[in-house]
Amino acid sequence: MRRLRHLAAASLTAMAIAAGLPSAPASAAQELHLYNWTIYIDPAVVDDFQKESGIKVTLDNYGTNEEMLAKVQAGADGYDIVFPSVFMQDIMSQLNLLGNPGLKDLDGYNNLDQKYFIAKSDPQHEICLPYNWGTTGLIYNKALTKGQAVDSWKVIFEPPEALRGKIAVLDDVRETIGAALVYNGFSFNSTDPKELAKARDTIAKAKPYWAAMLTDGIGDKVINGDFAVAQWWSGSAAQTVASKPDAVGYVIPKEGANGFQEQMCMLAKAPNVASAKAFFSYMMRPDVAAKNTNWLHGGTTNKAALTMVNPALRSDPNLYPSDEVRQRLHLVQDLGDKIRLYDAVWTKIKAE
Amino acid sequence: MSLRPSPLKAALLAHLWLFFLFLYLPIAMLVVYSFNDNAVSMMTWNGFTFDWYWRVLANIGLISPSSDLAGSGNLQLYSDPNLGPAALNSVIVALGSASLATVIGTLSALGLARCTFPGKLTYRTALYLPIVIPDIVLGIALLVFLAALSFPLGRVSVILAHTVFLASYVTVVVGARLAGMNTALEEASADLGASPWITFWRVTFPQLVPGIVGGFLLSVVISFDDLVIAYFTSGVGATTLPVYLFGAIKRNVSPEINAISVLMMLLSMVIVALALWLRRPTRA
Amino acid sequence: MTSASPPPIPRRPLLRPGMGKLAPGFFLFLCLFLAPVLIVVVYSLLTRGTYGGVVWHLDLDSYARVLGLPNEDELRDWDFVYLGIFAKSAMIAAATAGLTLLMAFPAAWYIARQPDRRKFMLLTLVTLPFFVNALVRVYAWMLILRADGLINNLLMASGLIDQPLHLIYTPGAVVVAMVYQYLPFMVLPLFASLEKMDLRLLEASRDLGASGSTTFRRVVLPLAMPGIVAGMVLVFVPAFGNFLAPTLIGGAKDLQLGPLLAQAFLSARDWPFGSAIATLLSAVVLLCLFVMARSEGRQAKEVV
Repeated sequence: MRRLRHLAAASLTAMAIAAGLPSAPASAAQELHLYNWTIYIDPAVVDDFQKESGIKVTLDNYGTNEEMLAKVQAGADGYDIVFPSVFMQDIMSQLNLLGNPGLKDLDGYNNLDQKYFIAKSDPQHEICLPYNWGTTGLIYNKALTKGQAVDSWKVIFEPPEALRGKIAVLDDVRETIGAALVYNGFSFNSTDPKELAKARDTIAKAKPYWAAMLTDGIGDKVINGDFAVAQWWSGSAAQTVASKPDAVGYVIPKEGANGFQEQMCMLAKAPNVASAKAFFSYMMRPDVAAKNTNWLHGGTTNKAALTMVNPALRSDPNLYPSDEVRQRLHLVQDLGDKIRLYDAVWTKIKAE
Repeated sequence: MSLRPSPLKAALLAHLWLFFLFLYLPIAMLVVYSFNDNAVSMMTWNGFTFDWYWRVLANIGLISPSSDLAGSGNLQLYSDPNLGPAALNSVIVALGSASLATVIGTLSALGLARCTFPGKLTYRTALYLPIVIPDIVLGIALLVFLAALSFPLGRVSVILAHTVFLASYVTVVVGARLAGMNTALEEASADLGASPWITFWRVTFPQLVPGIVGGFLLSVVISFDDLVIAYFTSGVGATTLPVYLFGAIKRNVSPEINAISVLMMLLSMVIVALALWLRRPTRA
Repeated sequence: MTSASPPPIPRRPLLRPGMGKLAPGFFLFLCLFLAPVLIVVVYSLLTRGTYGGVVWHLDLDSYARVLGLPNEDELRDWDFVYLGIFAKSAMIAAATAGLTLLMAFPAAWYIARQPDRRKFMLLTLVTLPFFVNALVRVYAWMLILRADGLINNLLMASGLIDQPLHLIYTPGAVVVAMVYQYLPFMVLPLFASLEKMDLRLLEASRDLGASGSTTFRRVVLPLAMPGIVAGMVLVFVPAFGNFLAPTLIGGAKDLQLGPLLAQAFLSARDWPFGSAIATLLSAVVLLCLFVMARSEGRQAKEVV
């Protein structure tokens, strides 16, 4: 009996030690460590890459840009590739967190549509690969919003009687305040205290009519009627619409909206640079880009891939907006220190 | 034994039933709806199905993903192969941190029970702090601390983070067992000439084992269930199951989540039931 | 009459045999608990870096901001929004503790009066749900309180209402979720206190002619007080800083401490400010623990 206990204690301690040991040395098999948004890359795409190249891929997830930045800054070493939004790429460049994979020299670079290279810190277009773009608009329940105009932010900020209490807004500083700014005719990235004050008042007036501010599980709540209208991202919304097209729809408000774009970047401290470069080349292949975009229900940045994108997605004006609508899309920019103005507004809004 | 009048007793009993109803209703609901054959509207009952469980098992790798059981309809959207590694990480972290915590916590409990020194009461109360402090404060403090030290975030950081508060739990559990122990046997052993070392291993330790094992199992469960601290201290390849679940809930609530929840629940309950059964009052 | 000087009192050495056992725990506590908490306190006194982190420059502005004081340089006016958040979180936590107490007391009383085996089984049943993942438990309550959730489905099916009630995303929902999360923390200390209570005291009180409610007020309550205080503290403190419930089921419309803390560190990237809030939170925690320890100490002295 005692021997059994000794054995148990020894094996437990051994397990504890083993858990702390680093994974198999890199020389044995090549590896790649991805750090991405949750459910933001087609698992089949990752799988195919593993099979083709023999490189073992791990995937960890984060929920917001800031969370990823906090982790990378705090020393989450070992990640090779991250997927920041454009403004986050600028921030990370300033903090010297990004490495240069030399995109121009990699296979497939010419497939990319140059108009998507919009990061201010990357004028030579060689640090980060534009990954996916979309818009933040409104997903609505067709039955509940019958007869109402849903193509404007007005339905969120001055909701009609029938929809009060059934509205959901994103729990995101930039998205929500940005929408209020755009509704009032200002820039999405305004740092003018007066404009921000007006946005704050707009939100404060509308908040009592909102059911919730959240970023999770919005889709099924629009379907089941908890929400009549919700602010949401185009890709996620499109996935929901695809599952129940007669019940829900997605629209870009006419005043304008956030046109977001995520980038694929290599970290300065990436341990597996060769694997990372291979992955970049892989993702620039038109068939791969198309497959991923179809899964994401997003916007591809790869012009060679456009023909392979699902025609149903391609022809949806809310997912692939016309140039005219594009003019009204704003891109979230880094505000540097001025973000404190937004934080103050945000806390005020949330605490009242 | 009780002289309470009947109406009061009936009221108490009724309250107890409602109390347990409140405790177990959400759990029952999760179990029931994990079998709901409705991918879109989770609360509308469409029929009975094991589909979600098969998908979860396929994602963990326990059954082949291409088998008939796992594929049904356009559910490719919700499947995520990260489930398997996350589950494995949770198990490794739980076993690792529970082991460390059990050793350290038991030693602390023994030290506290057998010695007196100035500041003992303060130290004993201080050891409660890691348990009581809101987990978000501890998680953030550890993140800040590890960042300041440039300590790499990964599985080890999560194990260390968990060990901190698990050790306090073990100290409390083993301490309680020690307090209830009869020292007569130990004294007898000493009187018979046994050295303190032998007295410990032959007399004290055997009586302590149920408490130690109980503390270990308790630690495993608590570590397995922790979200907030793992959220802040995890790094490459260290995503644990609750952290993964948190992200999944935020994106798109899939019925698979119900199945995962129920499986996690079963695992937790089995381990805890085992722990408590070991600690049951015996005739000793 | 030789005045022999009293024998010197032997000074007990500070480090006694057996204290070596405490070393690992002590170092763990020191390095991985005390040090991080102290660093947070130190950070709260520094200046924020533009993109997170801190600049080593002493600055009490974080505390000033929390307390609502104005600051010319920051264009900030008197603003008690953060104190308001503390107050709101405290109220919700207090409501949670109170409700938990009301629910747990009769149950703990009943269980304490059972024979040993059944006592143990009942306690096990009470504690079991606690070990289900907190995330899963809050999620389950979301399923119950939604517009198409269990409660609304039952009420609509039975014809009592024709429009679903707005239950989810309210402070009430947060309280319910937290009560559910912390119930065992209240039941166990209450049970411990009630079990130790000598029933003969109740009988004596009754024999002396006191009514049931008087007996309860003047005999039961004082004796159960340590358990009540312990339970209230063990529920109030985690509820005060709870992160999951307000985020998932509270609708995030009204900010509470837990999400505020996460927000300060992650999206606002204001580490000194977040550290100030964490420090104040910890101060409240320490205060509550102190109250709890005092109450136990006092009770121990009163028992003659």
